[in-house]
Amino acid sequence: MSKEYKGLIFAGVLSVVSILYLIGAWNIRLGSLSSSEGRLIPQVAGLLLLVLSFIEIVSNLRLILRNKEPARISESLKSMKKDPGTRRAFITLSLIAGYVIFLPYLGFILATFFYLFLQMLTLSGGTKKIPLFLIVSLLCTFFVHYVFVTWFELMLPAGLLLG
Amino acid sequence: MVEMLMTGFALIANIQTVLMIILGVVLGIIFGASPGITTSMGITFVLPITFGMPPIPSMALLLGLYIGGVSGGLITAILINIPGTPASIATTFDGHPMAQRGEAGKALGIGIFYSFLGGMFSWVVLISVAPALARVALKFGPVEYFAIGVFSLTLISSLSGESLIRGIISAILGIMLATIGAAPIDGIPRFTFGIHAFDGGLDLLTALIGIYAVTEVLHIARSGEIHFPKIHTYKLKGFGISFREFLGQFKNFIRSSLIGTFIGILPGLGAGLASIVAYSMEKNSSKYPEKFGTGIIDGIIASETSNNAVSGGALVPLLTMGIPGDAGTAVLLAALMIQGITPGPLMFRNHANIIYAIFAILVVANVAMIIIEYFGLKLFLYLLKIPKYFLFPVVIVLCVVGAFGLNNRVFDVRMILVFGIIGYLLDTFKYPSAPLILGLILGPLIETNLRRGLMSTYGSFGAFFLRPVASIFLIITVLVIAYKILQGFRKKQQLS
Repeated sequence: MSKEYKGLIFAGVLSVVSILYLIGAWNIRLGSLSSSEGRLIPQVAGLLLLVLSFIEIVSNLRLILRNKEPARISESLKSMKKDPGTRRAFITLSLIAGYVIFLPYLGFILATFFYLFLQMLTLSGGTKKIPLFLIVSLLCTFFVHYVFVTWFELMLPAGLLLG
Repeated sequence: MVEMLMTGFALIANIQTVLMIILGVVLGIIFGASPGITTSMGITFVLPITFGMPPIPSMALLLGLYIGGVSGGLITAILINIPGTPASIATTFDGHPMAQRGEAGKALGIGIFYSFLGGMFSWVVLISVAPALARVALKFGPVEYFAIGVFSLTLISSLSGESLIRGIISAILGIMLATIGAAPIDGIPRFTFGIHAFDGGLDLLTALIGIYAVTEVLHIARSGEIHFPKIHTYKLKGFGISFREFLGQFKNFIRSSLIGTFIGILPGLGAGLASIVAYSMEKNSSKYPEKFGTGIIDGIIASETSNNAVSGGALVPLLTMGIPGDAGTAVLLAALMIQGITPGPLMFRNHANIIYAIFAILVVANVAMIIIEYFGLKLFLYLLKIPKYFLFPVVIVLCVVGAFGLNNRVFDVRMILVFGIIGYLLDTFKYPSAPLILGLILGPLIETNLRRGLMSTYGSFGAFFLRPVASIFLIITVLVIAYKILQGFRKKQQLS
């Protein structure tokens, strides 16, 4: 996706965020003893974000209009989907999300082992080192668990299976 | 002062603290030498280990890492032409040409030696300036703190990244995130959406882990840079500098140390800028500027002295006013707060022993850095060969453990994912992330002091400009913004 389109989309998202935030700021419930100053910083911050994101939108639009042959959004999106780097980043994000979501259910040991193995597999770009990844994942999981639980006396999620 | 230092050294004279300093320096050099891992990121990874530690060993580990991290960047800057941290960018200019010429050992020796000297110079400034500045800061009221907070945030926003607007947007996002939870002074709930976990506000550590660690792993995944490039061979012989050369470079050393320390004191500028400024100043004042970039020791000395001198300077605003100068000191601030210590002028009165210990730790860490980096170079280079697909997943696991250990709840672990996504989006759309972190830290400070200030001035904001210190900082803030806008217009005119 061309730089200008990226900038335009993100600035648009920011302006929506600022509007939603401003609505929230106006609706902050003040107690009987509290002054309206509790709304002051949120209102100022929301307003500033709205103004600045609008400036960003305008400057990106100007850049797009100045460009004689702007890249089409659909074409740019297609090329993004084909990019292996973006795909790898998306898989990594999904793995981290899966890890933090399933951590309380699977417990630290199982969730960490699965996460480490799959993440190493993803980042290595599919190298055929599966036995090595399995061993490293297993050793790392138990080492981290041992260090934090035994030495630092930290309670880690046991999960539904082992808990 | 002597008594203060003696107390500091007595406090750290135990096996645990000394081992923590050594461990911190070793980890710092490894992180610093690893391209893609910045010092602040390294401190964030290690922070969870300090949860159960007493304050002094905890600070020993983190400050050791801070000192080692800045210097470690020179290894890869010289040997493979990739700066380990942004602070070592200027070291590549002359360091790598020397390595290509077969003088890698000399370049490394000089870099390590002047890293130590730069660090010690700024330490002298820190112990001389900080106690006096803390006494002055004790006289500051909410109006002054509000003005200093706004000034720091503006400076950081305007100097991070290429665009002033994007820097300020990032800082505002940080302030907005900081408004989640109970409001300062009256404690009214804001933006909690009925979720009780939001009542106490967002935890700084989860933000740091998410924005630095998760974002970096996503960045590595996207770039696919998982292997380490080939390294030039080197042979170390002493520190590679004769007494005559040392005397000849004395002016360069003093100038670069002063630049580094001063830039360190100013919020938001950082070691990267210090090394570039010192390098340019040395080149401009040199009798042979044409030789810069071809592999001369002057360039390495300017860069490495100044970037290490930043470390002591950046601790001045942190310890005296509780205002972090850069991302690294922001993480140190989080570490102190986890230990129940709030940095600021009162720390000199209420936790003087910690201050004295910090002063002593910095000396030992600098000495440890020069010894460990010199003798452990081969080991560090070996460790750097570990592929990132092993290293980074383990880093994420450590971060998850750290976030969970904060309050023993999964909510904080999930928040690192949220901050990771925010950090990744900022990175993808070219918005600097440092102002967001500083906005998150300084937002509550600015709001609390604004509200207290308005109470003391009976609601008049104009009265803020009648206080000399506050008005100076507010005027400088306006001037900084005006200068950046003017600079932007000039750039546009030149382009068109």
